[in-house]
Amino acid sequence: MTSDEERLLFERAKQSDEAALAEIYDRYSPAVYRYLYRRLGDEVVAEDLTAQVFLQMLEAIHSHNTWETSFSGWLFRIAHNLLADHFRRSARRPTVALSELIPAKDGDPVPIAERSVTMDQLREAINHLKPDQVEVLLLRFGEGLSHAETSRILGKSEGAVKVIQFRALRALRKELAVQAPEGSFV
Amino acid sequence: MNFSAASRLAELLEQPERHHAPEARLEPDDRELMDLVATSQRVRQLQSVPPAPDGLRRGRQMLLAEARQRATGRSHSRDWRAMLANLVAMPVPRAAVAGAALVAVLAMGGGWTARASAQALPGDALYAVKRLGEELRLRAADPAERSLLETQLQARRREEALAVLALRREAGVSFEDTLLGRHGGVWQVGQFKVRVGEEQPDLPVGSLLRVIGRTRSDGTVMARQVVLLQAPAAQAAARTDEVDMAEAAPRQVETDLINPEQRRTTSSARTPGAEGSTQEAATPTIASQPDSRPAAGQQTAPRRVRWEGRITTKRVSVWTIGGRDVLVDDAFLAQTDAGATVGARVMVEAVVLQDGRLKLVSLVVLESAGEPVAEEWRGPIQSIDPAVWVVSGVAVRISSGTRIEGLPAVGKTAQVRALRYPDDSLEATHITVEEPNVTRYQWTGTIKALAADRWQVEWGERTITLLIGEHTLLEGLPAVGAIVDVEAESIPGQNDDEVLLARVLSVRSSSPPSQDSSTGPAPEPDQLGTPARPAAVASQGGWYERP
Repeated sequence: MTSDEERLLFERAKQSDEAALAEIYDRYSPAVYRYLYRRLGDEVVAEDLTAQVFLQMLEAIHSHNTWETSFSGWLFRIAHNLLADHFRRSARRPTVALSELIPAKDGDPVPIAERSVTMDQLREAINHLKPDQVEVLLLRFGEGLSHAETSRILGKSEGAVKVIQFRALRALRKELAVQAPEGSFV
Repeated sequence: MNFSAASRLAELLEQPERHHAPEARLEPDDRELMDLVATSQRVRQLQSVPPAPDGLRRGRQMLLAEARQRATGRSHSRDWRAMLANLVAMPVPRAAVAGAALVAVLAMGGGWTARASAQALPGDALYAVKRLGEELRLRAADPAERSLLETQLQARRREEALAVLALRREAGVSFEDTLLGRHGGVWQVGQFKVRVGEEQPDLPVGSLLRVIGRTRSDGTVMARQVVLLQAPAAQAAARTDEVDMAEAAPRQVETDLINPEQRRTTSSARTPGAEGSTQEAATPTIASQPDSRPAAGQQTAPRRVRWEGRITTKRVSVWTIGGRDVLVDDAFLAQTDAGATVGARVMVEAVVLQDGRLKLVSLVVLESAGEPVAEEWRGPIQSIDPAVWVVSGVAVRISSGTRIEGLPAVGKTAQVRALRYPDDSLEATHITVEEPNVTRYQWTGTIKALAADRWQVEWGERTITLLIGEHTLLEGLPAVGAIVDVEAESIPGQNDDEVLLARVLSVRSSSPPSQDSSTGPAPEPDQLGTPARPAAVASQGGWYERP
């Protein structure tokens, strides 16, 4: 979907066009959910926060406090802010989601328990990164978007995204090194 | 910042699946980039699960509902603000607790908080949020839904109180249940032992009470206030599990039965989270609502009764729940809970019809019956009752959900598919009645002998015994020697063609048959073969033979 198409859809949504709102929701909610789930590891909370993202979007539409560059990037930013609120209020402790205990279909050789712990550590480490670094990492490697797509979503230049990506990976590696037991793979 | 390093890393990472693995394109001495590529692979491993369809569907519904409300100038936000205004008017600390809960709801998003609070028990931090959510649901419900929702919420209050007692936790609780017995200062109210003190009035057993109090670690509830909601009707007084719901509507005014000085200034209006913030009274207040029964001549609402019990039978239009038969109409069946199977423990509400019968209006499954096991067998139908058939010696229940194919009749063979419930009862889901493999015969012959349940009729040189019964259509006046047109068929499962079931017997006259007619139009000689003269028919009791 091009920026113009997004803007057209958004204009219809501003007129309380339910079909447009439904289209926005159907188009973006899976990606928003995945983004939230990767940060949370909790399906239930991810579902509820996904719903909250779109309710906030509606609120913003009516208060004319909307996106400027990238609609989808704006949604991800709302999601990111909700996540920050969630972590702040819940004083989140590391948890292992049930879905993490399900072995991957491709037969990951790492024992499930060990893998669960490392996945949780990875989430924790990501949560310590700067917001723009997290967004770049999750959009690039979580959603599999290109630098160009990521830059469009975040309203940044491709060069800026590449720099953020570099810094994010370097910071993440450092975080993992702090968390990981001595001698383990980072 | 090393921009060239960032660009080099970006180049390595961009669309790696289309090229070689990024590591393969690294220089051996470019250790940091190699590490960063490896780290990026770790991020890719962060698995996500596809969202549950229901989860995202709920969010979609919320979004569209909110948009609709905004379009009509009414939003949830306004409801929240109104709620907040109401709560602020409450005395502290109740308002503080509820207000804090509301702020949490507003700030964190109602959906998640409501979900997280769903399992909250009295005394938990999120319990007030749970009650607040329920209050909102009640407000939003239309009158038809409200009744069912209130019933569900009342059941939930009891479950919560039982859970708190099981945990030996002290917390404020409130619930409604029936007074089952009094033992000094301890009353048995439903499943609860409620301490009310020694000096209390003799409320009749069977009364519907609301108990507001605090659980104790000894497994009892210390009542702070007991509200008499409904005295038992005379005919219902002996049924201790029955609750008259006719006046279980909102109660705003209470009148002390005793000790009005000690009555607290608490309101009986339902207040979310209120129980958790009040103190225990040394002597509970016993209060009653004013009798609002209508005077003679006034229009009365149908009396309602509520009880708990297990579903023991489900017939087409009558279910038996807790030993009572209740009528079930199609409208109820269309929206009934799928878990309302035989064996399930349910709470039901019914209206009392003018003829005294009960008609089901709501049902809440409290405990499912467990998974039934499918069974299948085939055999002769031995008896047919509207509610129960016996097929091959096995009694199987017929319910409104039983699909029957074919024309049932005793003696026919049926293929039965049924579910065996934990109580060992069987409920048929599908019965296929097999049409028997019969041979039909038609001829004209002379009546050789008559009895109430059988005739003997000549067919050629043979004498055939015809069984007479409800399946037989008889025309004319039968007499030994009369000519009769016979339509008959073989007995299912038997190969004996000397004894047939008579379907139509049309007696022409009592004159001896002509040669033509006696031999008759044997339509299916191949079925009987060449008729052989039957053995002499022995004179049996009740037979009338031609002299």
